[in-house]
This record gives sequence, structure tokens and C-alpha cells, in this order.
Amino acid sequence: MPGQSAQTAVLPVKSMTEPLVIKTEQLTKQFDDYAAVNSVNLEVGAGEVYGLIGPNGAGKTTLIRLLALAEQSTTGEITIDGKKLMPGQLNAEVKKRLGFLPDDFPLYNDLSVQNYLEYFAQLYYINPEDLAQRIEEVLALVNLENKRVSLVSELSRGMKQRLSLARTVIHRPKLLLLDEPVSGLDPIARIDYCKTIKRLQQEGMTILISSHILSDLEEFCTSIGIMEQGRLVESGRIQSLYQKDVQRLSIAVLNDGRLNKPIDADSAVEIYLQEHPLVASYEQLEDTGRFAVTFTGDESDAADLLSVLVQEGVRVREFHCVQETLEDIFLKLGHQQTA
Amino acid sequence: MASLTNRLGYFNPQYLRECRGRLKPRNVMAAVVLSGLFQALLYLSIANSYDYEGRPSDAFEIFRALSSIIPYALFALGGYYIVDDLAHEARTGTLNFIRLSPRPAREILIGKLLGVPMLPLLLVISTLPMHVVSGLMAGASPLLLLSYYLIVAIGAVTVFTMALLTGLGSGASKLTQQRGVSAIAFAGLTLFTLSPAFTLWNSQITWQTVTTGEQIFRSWDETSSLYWMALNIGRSALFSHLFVLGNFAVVSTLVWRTAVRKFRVPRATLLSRQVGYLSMIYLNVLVFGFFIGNGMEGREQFEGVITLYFLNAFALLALIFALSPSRQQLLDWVSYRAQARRTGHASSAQGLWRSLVWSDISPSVGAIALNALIAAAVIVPAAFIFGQGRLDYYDEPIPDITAIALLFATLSIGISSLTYATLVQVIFSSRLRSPLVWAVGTVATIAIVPPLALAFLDIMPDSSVNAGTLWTFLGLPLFGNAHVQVPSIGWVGLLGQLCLLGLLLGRLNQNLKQLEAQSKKVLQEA
Repeated sequence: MPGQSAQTAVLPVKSMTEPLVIKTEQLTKQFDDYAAVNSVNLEVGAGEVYGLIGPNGAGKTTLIRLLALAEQSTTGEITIDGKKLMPGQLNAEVKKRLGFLPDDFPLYNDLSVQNYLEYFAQLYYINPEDLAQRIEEVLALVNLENKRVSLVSELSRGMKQRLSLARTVIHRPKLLLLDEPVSGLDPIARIDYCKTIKRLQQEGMTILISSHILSDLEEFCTSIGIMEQGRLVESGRIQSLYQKDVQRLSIAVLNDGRLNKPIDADSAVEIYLQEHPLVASYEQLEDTGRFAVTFTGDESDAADLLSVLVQEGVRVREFHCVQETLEDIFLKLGHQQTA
Repeated sequence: MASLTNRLGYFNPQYLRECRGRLKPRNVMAAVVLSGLFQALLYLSIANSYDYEGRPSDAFEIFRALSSIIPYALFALGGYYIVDDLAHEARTGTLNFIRLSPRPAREILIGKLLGVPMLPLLLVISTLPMHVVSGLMAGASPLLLLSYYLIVAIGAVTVFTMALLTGLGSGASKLTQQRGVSAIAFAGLTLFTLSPAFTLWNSQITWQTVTTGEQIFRSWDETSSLYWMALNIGRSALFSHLFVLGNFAVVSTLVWRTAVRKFRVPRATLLSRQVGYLSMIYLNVLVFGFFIGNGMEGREQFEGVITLYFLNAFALLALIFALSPSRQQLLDWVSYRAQARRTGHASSAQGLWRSLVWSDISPSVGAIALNALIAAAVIVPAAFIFGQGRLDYYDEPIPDITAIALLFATLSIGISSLTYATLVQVIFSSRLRSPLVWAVGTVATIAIVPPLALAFLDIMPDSSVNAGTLWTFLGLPLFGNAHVQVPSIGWVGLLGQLCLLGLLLGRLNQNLKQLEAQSKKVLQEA
């Protein structure tokens, strides 16, 4: 959980001693004979960008809908920004703090962009005096200033998606819940959209976002949760997820006969790797002097290994850590935990 | 101007949103032109109509025609707009965004109620000058005009509230989800039942009490002696208005509360338990009120009680469907109770009863039992009181109703209500593709086919003792002599009913236990 792992992680995001914006306890939503969300304990601190990943049907959307009050839990509790949700109540104070963007984004085609945003601003009690300025701000945020008087029906899909985001943040929510916000966008529109999300992060909003495009999440998420079959199987700061796993090293040496030993450089490297206590396994790639090493040590241990090889006269032409992607972690951790 | 609209939006954003979406110059122009055309056509058709001796003046004819048309147009068109708007928002998903806003449901729904039917309102308002002028020229008193507008306005609020509920409930089946289906059905219902009933009642009773001079609305003679709870609502302007306005207020309040609840929790049962009980009390008090102090003979009063009995039977049947939770809701209920037991908040037997009576997601059997008791609390004493010393149409004495016969009839009807309720709940708690279709089909078949078959075979309740028993088993004891004397074998019919109810309750209990076990298993496995 983010709260547990953050003590060791040094990250450019807010400290985990900051108050929690999301806290769920044993949160469960059961639909007939399956639990879409099963005993989820989630903690997200203020200012975090929490990425929720998992295969289709893992329960991401249901979890987000539960947090957004769009769905009622079977059992369990939800606390948003210190306020516990009361089932069957209006929960007005919590709703004022929430911004929810579902994966579909129905709009009012009969209104202009300006009137559409005004309507939602008023639904969220934005003062009449501040209304015009706030609409300017959100239109600028999503680059729709020149579409103010256009009818919503006249906008392109990408513009509609941006307008939906503007609608979601118009009341400056403390917590933004985004369910697959970039699905269906072309690459350029997606990059623009991600930049907007980063700006919202910089404004201090806590964001929980689900997406299948893991490279996007990797770029701006501070924490990641992996869901499988309704359970939150892994949750933590993104850096700590990487650290949990072993490193993969790529080592390449020159076999030019200049090693001052009766064996060639490949054999020498093999001997060192076999004897090194932090090498879990290694593989020589097609007899080219290149090794793929599974290494259980940290960066300092890797540096030590490199200096030993150099001191022994091995001419190392390449030595680097192969950075795992979020996709690698998801594929490995998610399925391991489920199994 | 901008500041004013902003302030209006802050006060009720939904109302402003509806104004902005609907009050476009083209729409306003169309409404006004349409209204003008209609008024011109009405005037021309009346002015050029055949003149005969004693024919009322043109103004009189125009006033009477407009007075009848206005409620029809307002209720049907306004209702159509509201149902269509809400059904459309529910279908496209925009209603969810409004639902998730911090504004209370009542604000949103008031905005819808006042804003959505704006064009029909405009259409009607633009006919008012003609209505007022023709009325005054025809000799209608200002009091009549005031009464007319007050009652039409309150009636519109009631119909529009019903439309809100219909629109919010339009997602109940695939048929009603189709665009326009719910709205057309509601407009049809309004045109053929609500509006005629409204016009008939008020023109015959309410407005008669404030009509002076020439009689504007034709009236039946006997309406002047109509009593409700010993109050002469057929002659007193105060009582007749209080009666109509009071009833509109009660119906609007019950429907409004239901609509607000449906807006907040779309998957909730149609009625809450509380509104179910209040509706049952209201129905019985309303109908029973007509039997008191109206100078009816004992026979007529007893027939009235029989009518009330049938009304209650239909009401109970409707309540069974309106109060029964779905399989998912029953699952939530058993899971919640299981968790309460695990966490030490173990619910006592008292807690279980309370849950069965008040919790909207508990099996509906307890609530139906309570509703049957509410009905019995009115019908049984009334039947006993009005069942004594009666004469038939030939002034021959009819045997007095006995207490044991009343107990018998009450038990038979009560048990059959519980049987239907349990049956519906068993169907709802089973895994079926279309539980509602199954439940309606099964209950309708059981309620209609056996009595029809018996009647077709000429096995009538009083044709033999066994036939009476059979009819009692079907929950229809009042068809025979049961209201007078109970044949000893009639109790066998009751016993049969109890056995069937016991079997169904056992099955329901089994289904609930399966749901609880399934819930536990899913949570442990995952």
C-alpha cells in the first residue's frame, strides 16, 4: 500500500504523511455470483496521481464508480478527504470534493459550450461572481477558448472529451476520478490530454485514473494499483514497485584475446557471474559476448560488479540496467498474485 | 441580465438549463403561432355554427370549449415533455452527472417540473386572455375563474409529478427504454383517463359550487348530495375545494417522495415501504369516507365495502410488484445481515422484524402482510357494521354477517395476498433472465385462470360446499356465502392456502440461504 512503501521511497511527490484523500476499508461490491470489487483496502494521499491498472473486468470501473458515489457498495466503508460516505444520504460535502469522468461522456448537445459549463458550475455552487473567470480558466486548460459559443453538438470527439474534462474540474475538486479518459483519442490528442492531466496534478489535485495505456500512466503516476478479479493485488509507489523486483542487467564484453588469463573473456565473465551471490541467473546471448543477468542487488551492488569485472581485466563495452516497464510489472505481479 | 441569469442559475441551475435549452426564439414563436391559429379556428367554428333557439352565446361556447381543452392539452403535452426528457437523459446517461452533483434531488426535480413543460405552458398561457374574456362575457364569476385556474394549476403539478416518476422509471424494461414509448404511453393515459376524470369531477362537483347565474358546466342532479366523511362536498364550495386540493396534495406528496427516491437511487424498488403503507391508508380512508354520512342504505354501504375490498385486492397486487426487491437487492440484504452478525452487530429477532417492515431491500412478504392488515382494519369493522339489518332490493331481510365469517374471509384474502407476495419474491430471488415477466405472468395466470375456469365450468362458490371450499382456496371467499356464514368444510380451503404459503415461504427461505452462501463463497474465493 502507498502508506507502507513510501517510508523508504524518495519521490518528487508529496510525502505520505499528508492526509489521505481516499481511504477504503474492506470495500466490496457483489453482483450476483461474482464480486466486482472484493475487500479492497485502498489509501491514496493528497496530491498523488494513482493509476489503476488491470485487465478488462478486473473491477477498476466499479471501484471508481463506488468512489464517485455512482454505485452503492455491498459492504465496506469509503472515506473521502476525511469524510465517511453515508449510504442513502446526499453526501453533498463529499460530492463537492469529487470530480468524476466516466469512460463514456454524454453531453447536452442543445447547449453551447459556455452554457454547458455554466450549468455544471452552478450545480456545484460556484459563486455567480466567480463564474465567468472560472469558465475562462477551464476553457484555457482544455484549449477550447475559441469554441465558447459553439453548440456542443458541433464539437469533434476529442473536443467533446476535453469539454467533459473541463466540466469535471470546473468546481476545483480535491479528488479527480478518471475512468479511461484517453480511450478513443488519436495519439496527438492523447498526448495533449495527458499534458492537461499533468497540469491538474501540478495544481494539487489528487487524481485516480484508470487506463489501458500503461506508458501514459508511467509518465505521470506517483502510485499504481493493480486489480485482478475484483481484488487490489498490488498497490504502491511506482518506484517501490520497480524496486520490489530484481534488476535485469545487460553486460557486453570484448573477446579480443587481450585478457591476461588462460581463458577468454566470456568464460571469465561466466565464472564471476556463477560465483557472485547476488546473481540469480544469467544467460549468454548467442555467443556474442553479451549476457542477460538477473541481479538481486541494488544499483550500488551493480556498480561493484562492474568494477570487479574491470579490475579483473575484462574489457566491458556495455553495462547497464534494463529498466522494466509498467507493463512488465503488471504482467508479472498481477498474474502472480492472482495465481 | 447576465448577472440575473447567473443568480437564477445559482438558485436553481436545472430550471435555467431547461429555459436555455427550450426557450429558443424559434420554439417560442412556434408555440405562440400555434396557439393563435387554434384560437382563430375555435372562434370561426363556433361563430359560424348553426344557430338554433336557446343556443348559448358564442362567448359561452368558447369559454366552455376552452375550459375543457386546457386541462387535456396541458396535462398530456406537459406530461409527454417531462417523461420524454427524463427517459432521454436516463438513456444517454446525462442524468447520472446531475445525480452526482451536490444539489439535492428536490431542487433538480423542481427545475425539471417547472422548466421542461415550458412550451406547453406557453401554449396554454397564450390562450388565457381569450378564456378570461369569453368567460366574463358568458357570465362566469371571477370566483369561478379563480377556482378554475387554481385547480388546473394544482392538477398540473400532480400530473407532472406523476410524469417525473414515469420518466425516472422508464429504464425498468427494454420496451419502456425505447425512445418515445414511455412518453406516448403516459400522454395516452393522461388523455384517456386522468384528464377526463379531472374534467368530469370538477365540472360536475367542484365548479358547480361556485357557479352563479347561468349554469356553465352541465351537472348531474345527485352530485349536490355527495358527502365525504359527513361533509357535503357536492354543495359546499369550501369543502369541495378542500377535498380536491387536499387529494391533489396527498397524491402529489406521495408521488413526489417516490420520484425523489427514484432519482437518488435508480435501482430502488418503485415504492419505499413507508410510501406503500401511506398509500394503502390513503386509499382506504378516501374510499371509506364516501360511506359515512351520505344517507346510503345499509345495502348500498355494504356494496361499497365490497367495492373497497376489490380496490384493496388490486392495490395489494400492485404493491407486491412495487415493493418486492430484486435478486441483487436481496443479495445486498443477506450480505449486509451476514456482515452485521460477523461484526457483532448481530441483529435480534426484533431487528429482523423491523427490517422486514421498513427496509426497502428486505423480502416484501412482511410489508404485504402489514398492508393487508391496514386494509383489513378498515374493511372488517365496516363490513361488520354495514352487514347488519340489511334489506335486499325487494325489501326482504338479508342474513346478518357474523364475526366468524368476517374472520374467515379476512384470513382467506390475507393468506392469498401473502402467497402472491411470496411467489413473486421467490421468482425475483431466482436466477431468471426476465424475472418481472415471469412474476407478472405467473401471478396473472394464477389469479385469473382458475376462477375463470371454475366459472366456465359453472362451479360457482355457492353451488356446493366443496365449490365454496375451492373458491376459498383461491382467495375469493366473498363470492360465496362466506360473508354470511362459513361452511364447516370451508376451513379446509384455508388450511390448503396455509400449506401452499408454508411451502412457498420454505422455498423463499431456501433461496435466501443460497444467496447468503453464494455471497460468502464468492468473497472467500476471489
